[in-house]
Amino acid sequence: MQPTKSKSTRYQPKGLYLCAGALAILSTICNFGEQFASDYFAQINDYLAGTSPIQWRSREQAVNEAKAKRKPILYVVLVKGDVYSMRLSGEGLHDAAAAALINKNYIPVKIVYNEARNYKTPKGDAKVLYDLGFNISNGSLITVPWQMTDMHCSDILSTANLAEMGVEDTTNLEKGSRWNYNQNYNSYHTRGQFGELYGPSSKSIFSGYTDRQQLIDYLQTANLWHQLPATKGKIAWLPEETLKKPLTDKPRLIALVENYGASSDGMRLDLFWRKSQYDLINQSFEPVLVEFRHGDKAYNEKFQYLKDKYGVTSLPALVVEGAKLKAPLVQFGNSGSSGTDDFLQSALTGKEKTSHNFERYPHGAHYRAHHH
Amino acid sequence: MNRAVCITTWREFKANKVRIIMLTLLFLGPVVVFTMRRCTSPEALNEDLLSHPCMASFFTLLWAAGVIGREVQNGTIALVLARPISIATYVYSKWFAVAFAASLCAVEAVFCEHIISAVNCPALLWRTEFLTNGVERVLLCFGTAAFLILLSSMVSGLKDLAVLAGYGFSFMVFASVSSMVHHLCAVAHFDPDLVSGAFRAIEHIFAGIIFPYVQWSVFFSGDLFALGSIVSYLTLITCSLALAIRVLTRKEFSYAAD
Repeated sequence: MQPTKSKSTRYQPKGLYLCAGALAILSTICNFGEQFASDYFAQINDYLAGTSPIQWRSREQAVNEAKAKRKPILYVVLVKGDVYSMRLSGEGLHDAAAAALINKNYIPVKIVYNEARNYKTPKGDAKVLYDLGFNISNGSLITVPWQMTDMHCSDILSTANLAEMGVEDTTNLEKGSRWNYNQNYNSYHTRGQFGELYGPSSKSIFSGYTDRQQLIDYLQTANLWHQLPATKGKIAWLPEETLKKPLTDKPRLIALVENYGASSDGMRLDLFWRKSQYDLINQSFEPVLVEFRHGDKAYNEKFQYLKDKYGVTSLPALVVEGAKLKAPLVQFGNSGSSGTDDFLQSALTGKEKTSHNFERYPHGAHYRAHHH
Repeated sequence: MNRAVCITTWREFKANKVRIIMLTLLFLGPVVVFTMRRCTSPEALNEDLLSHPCMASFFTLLWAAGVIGREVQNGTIALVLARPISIATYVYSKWFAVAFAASLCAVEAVFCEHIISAVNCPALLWRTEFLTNGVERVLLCFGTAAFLILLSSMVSGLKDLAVLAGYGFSFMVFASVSSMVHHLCAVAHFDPDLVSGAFRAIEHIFAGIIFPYVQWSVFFSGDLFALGSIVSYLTLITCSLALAIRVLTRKEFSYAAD
């Protein structure tokens, strides 16, 4: 009978040792390489992935071209070592349908960001986005409408169009609460991580790429961001020609707002939609809405005299002129619902009333009588 | 691989009531949390609520704690090795037994969570997120099991848990030191690239050993960076098993070590 062949108890698997040693060396190279030689990896990777069918522009070119063609800029932020960026650059940006949508509807700018993992301040185009307040530590797509190329992240993500906000029922707005709509706005980073299209901000920012369809869904809707006008609320605004007419018994309320921007959007949602305030304004004031268009100097020129007259340097602002008032009363910025209540009461009674809100935030919105 | 060693490992686990209770709690924990979420938020009813793949690490820990150490302590290993089994085969078998059992539990848990979501909202039944989650759990189980086998081979009894705690503690200390050094570099206007890069690389190695998480999407990314995480994962498994075999072959076993 042939004895069974078996290895000795203390048999050493040399193959495994060799394999482990080789992998350990390779792993160390990869790991340290990621930290110190990411650029080389990226170059080889781009070479292997082939030429992208997307026509990339530099940021400077994109800003000029976007304004000329009236198309939004699409910033594609790719972060080295980020798994979503890997998939986005390897699969999503090489997809023919996605590339065609990008080339047709957007002015694309590619930003490869390497510094996130090394605690460094970003440079170049990445720094521009960083300075504008965008979170660029994860790979993402950011759509910036052509009118808003110089605006801060909070202004770009903000909207006062009810359809863009996804508001169907305005009950909460009329009660003076924006909370239900703001929760999506504030938590876009965490929600966006899963690539889900939640809330108004996700129409501008898309992060957490997982498949092509999501990318195409985003590209099909994001170019419409901010193409709808902002809400004017439930105030019965009088035509702009009213400004040329003499004052009547009722004090005249002039709201100077911009078509974009978080502050103006805030005033539209806080003041123009709040029942207690629009009822008061409709009954006791002659309301006139003056809308400035961001970046459109030619259009804004015809209202410049209002800014000069009332000393308004930044928008939004509320002005009340009345026969009973010694001087026009001006509120600079959006002071929220309670602050605006005080302002309107002061305008009606002629006595200045200051709420706790003002005392607590002395550097925020404020109002004062403007003496000529 | 030795079938008898695998089966013995599973039987031994079955006999331990404390572990069975903890295993049940690991199953029920996420289910209870998700049920509470569904009760408090109606939106959650339409979401496929799945726990993070990191749950697989806990399942593996439960299965692997003291898997070799206890046999060294009570002398069983000497009896096992009296059979025609090499230490290498013994280690492979233990690794596979632990990883397979933990994977089974972890995948079963995510499957249950998916089914509960689908009962609440049948449209979720065909969503494939749970499959990705399941695959990531299996990878995590095999990676973590290899490291825990190494720890268990180094000490007797359940002391591997203490070693693991020590490892976690040293990781935290290292992370604090690296953060401090980075800030000091910034204050001293010294270019922190080299220092912070080296610290980050070592942090990655530390974290990769204790939590060898490979995202499923990495395999389809078509990116060179993906190679790094796969290589790290394979390194962890091969190095851990190789070291475990090396440690055990240099040990003398008796019927009652401690």
